[in-house]
Amino acid sequence: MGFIELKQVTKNFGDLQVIKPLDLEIKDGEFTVFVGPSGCGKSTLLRLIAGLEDLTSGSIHIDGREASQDAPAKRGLAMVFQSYALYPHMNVYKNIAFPLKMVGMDKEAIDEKVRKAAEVLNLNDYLERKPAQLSGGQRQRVAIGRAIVREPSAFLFDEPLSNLDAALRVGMRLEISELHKRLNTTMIYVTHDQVEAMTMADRIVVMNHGVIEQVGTPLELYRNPKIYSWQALLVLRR
Amino acid sequence: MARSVKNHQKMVNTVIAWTIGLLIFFPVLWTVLTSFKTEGQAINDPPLFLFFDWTLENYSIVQERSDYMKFLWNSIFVAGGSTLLGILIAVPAAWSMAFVPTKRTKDILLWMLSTKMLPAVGVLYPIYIGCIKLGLLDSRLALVIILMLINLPIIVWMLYTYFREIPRDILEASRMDGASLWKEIVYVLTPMAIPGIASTILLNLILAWNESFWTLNLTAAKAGTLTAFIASYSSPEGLFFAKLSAASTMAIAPILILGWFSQKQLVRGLTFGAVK
Amino acid sequence: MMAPAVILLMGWMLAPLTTTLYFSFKKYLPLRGGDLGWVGFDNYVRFVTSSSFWPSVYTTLIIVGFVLAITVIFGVLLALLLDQPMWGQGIVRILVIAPFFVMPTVSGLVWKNMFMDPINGILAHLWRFFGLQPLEWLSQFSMGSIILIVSWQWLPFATLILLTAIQSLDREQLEAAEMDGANPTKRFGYIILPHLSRAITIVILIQTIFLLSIFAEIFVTTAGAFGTKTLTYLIFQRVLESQNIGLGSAGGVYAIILANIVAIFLMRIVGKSLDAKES
Repeated sequence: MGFIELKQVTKNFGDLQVIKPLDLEIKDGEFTVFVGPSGCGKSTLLRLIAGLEDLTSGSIHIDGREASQDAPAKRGLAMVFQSYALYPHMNVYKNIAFPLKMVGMDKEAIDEKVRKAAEVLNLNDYLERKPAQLSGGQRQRVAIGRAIVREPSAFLFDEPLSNLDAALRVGMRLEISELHKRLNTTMIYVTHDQVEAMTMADRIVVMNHGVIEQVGTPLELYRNPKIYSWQALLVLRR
Repeated sequence: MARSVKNHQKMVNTVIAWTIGLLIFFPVLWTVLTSFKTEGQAINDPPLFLFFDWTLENYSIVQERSDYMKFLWNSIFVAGGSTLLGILIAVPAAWSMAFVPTKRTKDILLWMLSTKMLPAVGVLYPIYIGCIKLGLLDSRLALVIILMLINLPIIVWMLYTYFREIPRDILEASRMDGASLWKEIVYVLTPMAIPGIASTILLNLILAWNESFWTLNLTAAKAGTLTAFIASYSSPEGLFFAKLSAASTMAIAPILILGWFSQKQLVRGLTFGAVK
Repeated sequence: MMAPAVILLMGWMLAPLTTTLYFSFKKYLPLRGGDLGWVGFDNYVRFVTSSSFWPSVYTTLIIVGFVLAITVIFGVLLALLLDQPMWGQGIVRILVIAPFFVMPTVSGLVWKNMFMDPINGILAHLWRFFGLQPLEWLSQFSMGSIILIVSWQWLPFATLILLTAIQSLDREQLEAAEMDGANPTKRFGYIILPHLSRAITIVILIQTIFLLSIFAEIFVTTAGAFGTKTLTYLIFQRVLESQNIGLGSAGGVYAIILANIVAIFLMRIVGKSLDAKES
């Protein structure tokens, strides 16, 4: 479950090659962070894995199965968007229940799963509310809840915390890390914040201009940073 | 010091604005007031403003004598029918233009808008003759179709802009959540687009209701709308100001109310988005 | 999915247009002999050389020109006024917007009878109050009357558009200008007016297209008499009243060409704003 391979993946937008030929392996249960400056291609890479963009060339394999042509829903992945992308006309309960409804699950099963997710994420008191009535942090959790109920092979997070204020961000980081320990599911997390990467990741993928510049554990990156900006960051921290 | 003069300035602004506003609105106000007067008092010199014998007789006379209800019903039928028909045709078109745009989408959209600029006079005869040949002269069906056609560009345009405003990632989220295209449209897109669709309907009801060129030239006793009905007062006999006022008030009241709610839609629909 | 809309509009455009074009090259008088054969460009020539042609062009230009001037100038002033802080702004807006929603036939008749009638109209009462002889609006100042009525109807449109444009102006720009020492007049001239220029252009273009084809107001008030025959009305008369189809069709073609010229400018601006939206 949750073993993802990218083989010689490229992506062009028009004539512009945004992702250069790229190989990557993400092990089952790993918390992998894609990090890099704006425009480096990290979000694009995430969306390629999700199936929201098509590959220009190369292949993607999920749990050994070739998934390059599969529609997003068929890949068994769940995504948490930067803007949360909650359905504004549905309340929290319905938002979380939506993917289960799409699969055709029956009402009791849906109810059980939704309430379990709400329990884990502390949303029990908000099930009747609509997104507009929630704070940023609460909406965040609803988005995560919607992803959890699907019991995906992997979670994809697209800069989920960048819309929150600093204090909230630290708290949410902790929550997501704990979620990961609890569920033990693969998580791919995109951020431009290097500190976030260092604190949350099992492995970090550093990207720039559509190329992977370095892959390693936080410790490895700390000891041997190949990128100037990382060196600068770590020098300051020493 | 500069900021504390606020209240005084506000008062001046208020006085000037209200004066001008009332002046502009006066003809409408006067019409409504006159509709409650007797014919004799309607032409009184000096004009009677509030102190006259209020009466409802004009309303009942207009209703009885000239079959007002028929014209009213025609207006409703034609405005509603053409709008509904227009929406049915425009929604798929706007949907595909907003969500699966191609290189030609923009040109097609502009071309559609340009058909609205066709002067009606230029095609008066062919349409007129066409109606006669098809036996559709003085028929509601002909009006519904024609009014739908002249407003279709605006309906498509407005729906297109509203659809484009739906955040893309909510639709993507639904795709990730396993929704097929059909389910995406039914469960996510349509509910979010309803305010936009409602606004479009509103504006088009107004435009169709007030349309005068085709309604005056293609209809007579059977399919005439309120526009034509009022026009029949242009060669009246005897004193008629009060009755004209009553008929007019009844004709414009619904639209004035609807119009108040549709100011934003007006800007969006009739400036084709070039002003925001 | 676009097909039904595209097909319908195409049919709507092509079929009548080609028919009009067809008839414009024939001499066709249904009431006096029917189809009398091809006459080439004869109708086109006759239309512009007829004694009513140039007066109608003149009338059209005057009416459209004055209405544009009045609605834009007063529209800008009104928009500026409505943008100021005041009490009851919402209601004033409604008052000012109302005329646009009044049916053209109603507005024509209300003005003609209840205001402009030289014996019983309000304006007549007003004139007499000041001891003056009431004016015969529609017979003596016919174009002026039409201009007044149409301006009244379209002023709200211009005001609403311009008000929207003014409200989209970034307040901070004005504050910066104020700090730079610009007084209100200068702020208006250097910042507000240029910002509005685009909206004004659009208002002018759109109104021109709609004003060129105004019909009902003339129909119910003067029926084209007293020199109020616009080009549109002239064509209408040729087609439906005197039933000289060939001549009327040729006139129709002229009207289409004229409207298209204006439309091209408008479409260019709309096209540009569409592109801006893409990015």
